[in-house]
Amino acid sequence: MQLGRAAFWIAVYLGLVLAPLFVLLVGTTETNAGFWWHFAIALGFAGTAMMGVQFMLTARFKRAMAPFGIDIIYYFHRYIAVVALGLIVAHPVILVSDNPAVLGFLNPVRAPWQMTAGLASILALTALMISSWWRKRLGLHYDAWRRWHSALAIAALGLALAHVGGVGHYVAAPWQRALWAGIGLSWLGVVAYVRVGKPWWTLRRPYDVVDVRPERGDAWTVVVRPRGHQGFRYHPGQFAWLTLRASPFAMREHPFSISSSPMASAHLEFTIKELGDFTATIKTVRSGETAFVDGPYGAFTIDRHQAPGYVFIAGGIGIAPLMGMLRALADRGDARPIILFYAYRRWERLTFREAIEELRSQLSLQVVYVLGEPPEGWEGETGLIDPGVLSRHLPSDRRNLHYFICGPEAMTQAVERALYGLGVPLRQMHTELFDMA
Amino acid sequence: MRILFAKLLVGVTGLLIVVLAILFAVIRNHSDDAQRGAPQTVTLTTPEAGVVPPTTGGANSEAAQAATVARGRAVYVAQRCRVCHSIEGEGNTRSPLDRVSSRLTEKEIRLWIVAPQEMNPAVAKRGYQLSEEDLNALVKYLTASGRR
Repeated sequence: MQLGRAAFWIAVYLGLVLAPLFVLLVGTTETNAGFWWHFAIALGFAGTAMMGVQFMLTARFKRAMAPFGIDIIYYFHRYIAVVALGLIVAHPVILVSDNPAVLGFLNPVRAPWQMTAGLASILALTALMISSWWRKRLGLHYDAWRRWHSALAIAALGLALAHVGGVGHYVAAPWQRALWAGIGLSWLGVVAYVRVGKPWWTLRRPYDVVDVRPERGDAWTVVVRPRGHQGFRYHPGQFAWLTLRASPFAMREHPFSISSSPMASAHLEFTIKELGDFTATIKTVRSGETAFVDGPYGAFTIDRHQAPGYVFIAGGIGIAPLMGMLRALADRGDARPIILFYAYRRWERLTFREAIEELRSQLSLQVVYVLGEPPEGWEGETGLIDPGVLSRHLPSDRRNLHYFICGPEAMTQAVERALYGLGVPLRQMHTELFDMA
Repeated sequence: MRILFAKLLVGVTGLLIVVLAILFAVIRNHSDDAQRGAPQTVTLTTPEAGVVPPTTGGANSEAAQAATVARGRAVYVAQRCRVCHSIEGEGNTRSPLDRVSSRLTEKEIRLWIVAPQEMNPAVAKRGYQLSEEDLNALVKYLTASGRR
């Protein structure tokens, strides 16, 4: 990721969040309210706008996300929400400490409705944050959480806008009303696009499940084929949101890496390990069922990074997107040297073991298996992918290669540190964050 | 590494938002200062200081009336009434006070200032503690604005 591009998108974000506020400086009249009062109002407006832009961040606009990779956008959405909540809570706190007279507005019995709307917005936002950061600890099912997340988000923004309109600062003049109505409608438009437009488009382009293959290591490969349309073009290593046994409107989609090669056919393959509620149902899916696919997404692909050779480093089911890249390289007849480090606990559970052996004959591929619990007589690497394992197998031109790492977060971080220690530049290491919920 | 990058992006963005919010507040505050004019500043921050001439001379003389209204306006500004109210579009137009005397008696206006709960127990407005002179001037200013 180049810093220039990052700076550009930060500027766009700041523009979306703050431009309305600064536009409203024009033609405002004196209030003699003092620095802290104005500062608190600015925080309130900025926080509300940030809430609105949150909807844009997860609307999956492919072009806007391409330079970052959608995973960064989702993590930005997650962390910037904390900042937004901080600003929004600071808004009444500063107002009350600046002028204790407004404390009465926090009492819903006596306060005007617009003040109670503001308070309710903060409560909805707080519930939203708690249910998102501690979803697993609270035992919330992913699908239920998504619906609550959506409902609370729309409620928080709607209440905040009601508060802004009711209080009346900077929205009194007709042109100011028009501006805020336009901004509010554009946010609602994004919600409509995500909840109605996009599912409708996805619904019109269904897929048929044509195979569900068991793989080693409690994984299943689901093969889908576009029904009556061309499907989509993708780069090897990208992922898509998959809906099975539900309508695209039901918000029951889950992101999975595409493990097939884009060169082979219009079929898409997703290799899914049994890990949670949804993934445990994959094995019951039968050929002929309908699937819906929203994709492709992600910046984790060799096609974005030309190099004299590639190193793939997989932990467990993290092999899936790397398998897509290996298959694509084989289909393209690529002769560049490739090294695959593949860590798994046990040899007999190694997903894609046979497929990888097959690819060896088509590619200049060296495979280094690293087993946690090696069988008797195993002479290969054992334990974790550590600096020792890497330095034993990486060639001397390791600084020129590009590295694609996919696996559990702890492994990914350890491998990045190890590679950095071996002199590999950070910009040549590529990862993707998987836990997007 | 990517998590770190995402956190860095968020940190930089969050910081810039706070900095720009401060800039906004400084600009607004400055334009407040500019609009009310430098010489009046002392009066506005401490209306009791008596920079506005007290109402001396003939109580009904035109000059004295004007001075009272001016003092009332100074109190109105200094007490930051415009955070919630407006007169002639200046301030928060959500609760305009234009022609307030056509809706309320002078006594009612006075109560709304010093003890709003006596007018409406449900209102979340505080009562303002003002000197008798300031209060009189403020009420005069408001009723004067009511006639405009």
